[in-house]
Amino acid sequence: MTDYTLEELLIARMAKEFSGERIAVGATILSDLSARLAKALYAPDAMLLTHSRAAADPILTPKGLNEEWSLTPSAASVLGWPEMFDMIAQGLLQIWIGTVQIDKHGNSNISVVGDWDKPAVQLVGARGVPDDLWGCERLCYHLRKHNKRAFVDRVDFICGLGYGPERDRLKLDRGWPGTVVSDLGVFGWDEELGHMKIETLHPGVSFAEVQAKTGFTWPAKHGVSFPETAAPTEEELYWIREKLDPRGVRRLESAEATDALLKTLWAEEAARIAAPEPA
Amino acid sequence: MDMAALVAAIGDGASIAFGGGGLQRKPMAAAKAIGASALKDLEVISMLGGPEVDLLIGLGKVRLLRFAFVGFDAYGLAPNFRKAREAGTLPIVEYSEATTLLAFEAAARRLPFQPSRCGLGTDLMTVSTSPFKTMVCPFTGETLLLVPALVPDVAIIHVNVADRAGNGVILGDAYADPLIARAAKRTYLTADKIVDELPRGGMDRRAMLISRLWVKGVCQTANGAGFTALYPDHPTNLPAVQAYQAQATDRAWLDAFAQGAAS
Repeated sequence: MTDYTLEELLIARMAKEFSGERIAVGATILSDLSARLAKALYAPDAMLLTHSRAAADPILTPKGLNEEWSLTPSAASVLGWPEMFDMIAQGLLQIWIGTVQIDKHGNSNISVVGDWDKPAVQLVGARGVPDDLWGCERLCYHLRKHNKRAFVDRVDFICGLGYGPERDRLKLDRGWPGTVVSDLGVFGWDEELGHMKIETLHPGVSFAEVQAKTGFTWPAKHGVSFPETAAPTEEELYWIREKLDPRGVRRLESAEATDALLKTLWAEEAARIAAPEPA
Repeated sequence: MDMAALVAAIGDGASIAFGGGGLQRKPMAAAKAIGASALKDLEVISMLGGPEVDLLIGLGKVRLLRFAFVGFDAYGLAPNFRKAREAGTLPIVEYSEATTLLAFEAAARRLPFQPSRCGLGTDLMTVSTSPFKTMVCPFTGETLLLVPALVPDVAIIHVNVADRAGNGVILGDAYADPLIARAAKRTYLTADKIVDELPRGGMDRRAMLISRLWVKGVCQTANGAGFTALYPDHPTNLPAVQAYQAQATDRAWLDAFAQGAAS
């Protein structure tokens, strides 16, 4: 029935969140590709960065595993980290964050699972999420696998702050929870309830499946039937497949990703870096 | 200076800030030499820590870790960092990226703190070792977060090329390195390429220069970034990264790795 993959559907959907003359960043492979797709089709003034974020404003090139090699050669400028945070403070960053946990109120966590003093799982630390909170208009989240460990009633550690009294107390009017995507659907916010809601479900996904894989109860007022996530267009698929990711790096965030695929992609790229093709 | 002299300049109990980020331009040769030395009770500071932090944790060298991130980027979590934290044996102070930069900035300017909003409303404020305080801004009445200055005893930065006077050039992402060079009491560079004098004028417009006025010494290395990437010289060595991840919690393997026997 479909001649596109879940990854291509997500890239196309995530691309719709970017607009204007701002930094466009995706911290996962699929959301990084969505920033590039947005620049190609929907937000031509967007400024891309390397994953590490320093080489600024490159042209559109095929995605690789080693961003400095794929993007730095065409970077128009360099962005120091202090200057980047000045841009963030002034609302000039749009970002998809690859969070580990998100809760019903939009709090997010990439630091630890369990008790911070002696965690069940030590993740990577809060990184830049607390900083994006005080700069970005919205924090959009990409979660690869929709399950009860990811969509939780309450996060174990707050890196990004959602709806609730603490936000009111701080008079925090930035860093609102933004669009959330998973392998099951696209999610937004009921601002009145300060609670996550379902926007669309991907083809073949039922509300019952989403509820069974979510660690909180979806508000009854939104019902149980939702529209289907739009399929990527022919133009979007052309850009993704032919221009932005011809080597298929996006497969690393598919259900069938393997260590062998990572090793193959890495080895092919290492060979290209060692012996670049003549221009 | 050689690596033995660099290690001898550190001292037990010192705080060491490492440059680079995640799996990029990490001073691995220096971290291995520290790991293989008799140095102990170190405070390790890394905005975006990677294998240099993980290695020293695994070798029992770390008394306290200050960080915003420790991991292996797209290739997974840091095994010894995980193991020590999940055992409850590694004292940490957790920052965000921006608050790490502000801590170095305050130190570089010899100020006691820098104000910010970053961190407010998050659990960075609620944990037992949080370094942050708040104050009411005397101008606007707004509550601000204060980031205390962080002055590392030693900063160690791996650069693409350095000259004998101590000027260093970073060609890829500079991360917090220009700031840690200015924040630390003593900054040392490691480099695979050391020249008598860097060319005057005509600098690559994307290069970041670290001035000799900040630098106490330059140490010659051979593959000083180890299996991490050094743009544009070599990308991350994925097979070596994966070998490390698979074996680094084995103390005998890690000892051999630090002593250079493992890759």
